[in-house]
Amino acid sequence: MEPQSVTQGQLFKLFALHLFSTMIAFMLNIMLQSSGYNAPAGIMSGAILGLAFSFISYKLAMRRPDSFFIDYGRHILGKWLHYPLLLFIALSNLMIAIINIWELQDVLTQFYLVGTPSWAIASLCGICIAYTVRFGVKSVFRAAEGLFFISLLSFLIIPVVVSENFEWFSGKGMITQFSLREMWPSAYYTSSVFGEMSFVLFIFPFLQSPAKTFRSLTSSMIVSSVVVILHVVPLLLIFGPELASNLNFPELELLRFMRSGSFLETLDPALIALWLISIFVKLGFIVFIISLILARSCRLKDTKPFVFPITAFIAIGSLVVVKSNIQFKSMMSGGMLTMFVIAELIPVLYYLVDSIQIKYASRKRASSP
Amino acid sequence: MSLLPKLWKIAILLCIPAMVTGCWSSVELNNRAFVNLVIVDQTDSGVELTLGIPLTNRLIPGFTGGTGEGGGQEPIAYVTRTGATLEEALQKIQGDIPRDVTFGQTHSIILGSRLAKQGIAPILEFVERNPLLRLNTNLFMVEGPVKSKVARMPSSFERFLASVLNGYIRNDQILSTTVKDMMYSEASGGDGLIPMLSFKTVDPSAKAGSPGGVGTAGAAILRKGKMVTNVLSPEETSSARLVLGQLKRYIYSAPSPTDGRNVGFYTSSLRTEIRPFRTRQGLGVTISSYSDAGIIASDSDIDLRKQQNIELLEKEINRIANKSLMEMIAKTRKSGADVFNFGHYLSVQYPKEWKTIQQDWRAYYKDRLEVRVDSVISLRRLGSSTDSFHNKLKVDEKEGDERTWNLSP
Repeated sequence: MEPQSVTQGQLFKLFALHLFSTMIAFMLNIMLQSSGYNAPAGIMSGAILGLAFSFISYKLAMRRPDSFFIDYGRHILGKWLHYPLLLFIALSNLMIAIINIWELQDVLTQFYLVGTPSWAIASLCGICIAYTVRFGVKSVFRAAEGLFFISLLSFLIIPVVVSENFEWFSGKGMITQFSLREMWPSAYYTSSVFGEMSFVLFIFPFLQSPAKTFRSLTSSMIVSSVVVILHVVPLLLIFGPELASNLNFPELELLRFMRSGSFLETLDPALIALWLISIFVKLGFIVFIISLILARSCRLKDTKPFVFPITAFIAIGSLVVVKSNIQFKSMMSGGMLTMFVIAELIPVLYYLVDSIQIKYASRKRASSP
Repeated sequence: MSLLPKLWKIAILLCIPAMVTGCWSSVELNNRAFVNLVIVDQTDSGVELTLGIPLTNRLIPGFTGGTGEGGGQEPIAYVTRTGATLEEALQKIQGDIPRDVTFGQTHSIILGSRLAKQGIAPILEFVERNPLLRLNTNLFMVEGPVKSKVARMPSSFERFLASVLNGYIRNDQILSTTVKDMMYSEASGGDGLIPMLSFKTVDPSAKAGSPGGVGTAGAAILRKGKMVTNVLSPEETSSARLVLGQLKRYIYSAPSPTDGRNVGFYTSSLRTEIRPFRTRQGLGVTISSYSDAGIIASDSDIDLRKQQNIELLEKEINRIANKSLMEMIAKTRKSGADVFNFGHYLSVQYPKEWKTIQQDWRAYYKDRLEVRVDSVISLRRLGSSTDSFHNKLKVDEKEGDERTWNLSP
């Protein structure tokens, strides 16, 4: 393990990629379906909510920035509670990864790799991810740093090239049809994604100048929510909420909606390739967190031995857990999200208990002499 | 000793490119038939699907000389099959041609009027579901049986009819309606205008006696995905394009208010705004179009150096524009087809009121919606001259025939 090898800039870039890549690629359809015109407002508020989750996690981590949460957590809640909770976090991360890989291969088999068996796609993606993670936390973050600007550029160019098709009037719908009730599903969904930032708790000893972590997280949140909104709003302006929510991959349709006959028209595979790598970075981080939890829990120094088995588990899981798009949607609208949110809120529990303990200890100290 | 692991590594590295994902189910370019035009029509025996497929083996320049000259072969094949449904016809085509039909290059779909009368919903559904067909695929319509007209069409500007259609769209020469436009909103889904193509006009460079080439015509009105009997004329279609903000440049003539003789104008449309409004009687929309106009010809005596005359002319062309807009909208309202998606504007602006009328929106549009038009054309350019050339000629007539044109003062 290399302590303090990750810069704050790398942290910011990884989380920014982490948040907007899958949000844009896979989740816009569900948000448009449930929130319509209120999706942008929902995303914005969900992002702030997600950041709030991670703030508490950051507060907790800052009390002991040089040691691993996996190690000291057991002194806070006791090992009988600590390890099951860790396992729960690891399992929800595993679920997030499985879902993302499944979505990835679903898009690829439907649009670009028609006829390629899904196991081939899942295993190739798995190999890419496993190799990134195998070389440790540094390589995951380096990958994020290298990809960030080109990926951001590709995501920012899409709204510009489709802008000539905007029906600007529809933008008014975001104001006239404002409703908190419609906004909430997107906000909840988004907070479950942005809340993944609270897992930064696990990698604190790797960070340089950890005190600045929350500032990096805030910038990641701002950048990625702006990027996501720059994709939701065009969808609303071009397709309208009714047609957009009926599309399985609205973002892909948006890409392909560029003026017909122009050279940009066949650009979508190039942009998809960039998505793919951004998602690999996200999954790399998740796999790293899982292997770190397992390794530290087993008192192993290195995460390496866990990386391949975990990635293989995720790849196989993605083939087994979800069978169809319809099943996937019913899964995502139900308990799965709550599971993620609970996992992201576990640090809050530690924070509360820890605060009580500190207060109790100081009072004891004050009263003892 | 240490060489062996290195060799292994190199061997593995060499194997990796073979795993590049595209290589799994790759289809050779030679094995693809790229469809650039889809034609769907209805016949007595079912849905007739025609795919226009460029023949790559005849595309080499030098071997093909455009059209029919010296027995040159057409670089395109039209494959037609008929089936009970669109899918069935497609399967028949795929079953008969030796290449893999690919829709990745399809930009245009031409519909036959008979099919349009029965309903185009199956085609919209097909495009939306097919991952390779795009939602911005353009729709066109042809009156009568399409296939025979298209197959006989000579073309000299472009090699393929599909390129001609793309050119129309690219240069804003024709009403452009995409699959998305037809599916945009639920309340008025399937209502729209589809540009019609005519095969009557003779191709400008074709020899005398050759069959008609393609040209633009009016537009068909669709209601709930079905063509109604009323059709917009080419002039009305231009007004419709103005409402849709698609009319970029338009040339026409209008009588001068001073002497009734024609003045020729061109207008460059700047923008069109559709604004819903609410009165005590109910809902309405205002269509405001802003354009700049210039004069390209004048037969009239009108003195264009006077500001008041310019204002007179402006008033006249605005009156004409408003009148033709109103007539065109009245026609669509008569059919009960919300072709301009006014329902969408109302639903965005007044969601509450919209909910009460959403159910029978088409009837509301037909009878109760108040439509105001407000065309703002400002005459900005007079061309390169001020007075009409015509006036100079008249001076000559008065002064006798022995004097020839004298343009100098």
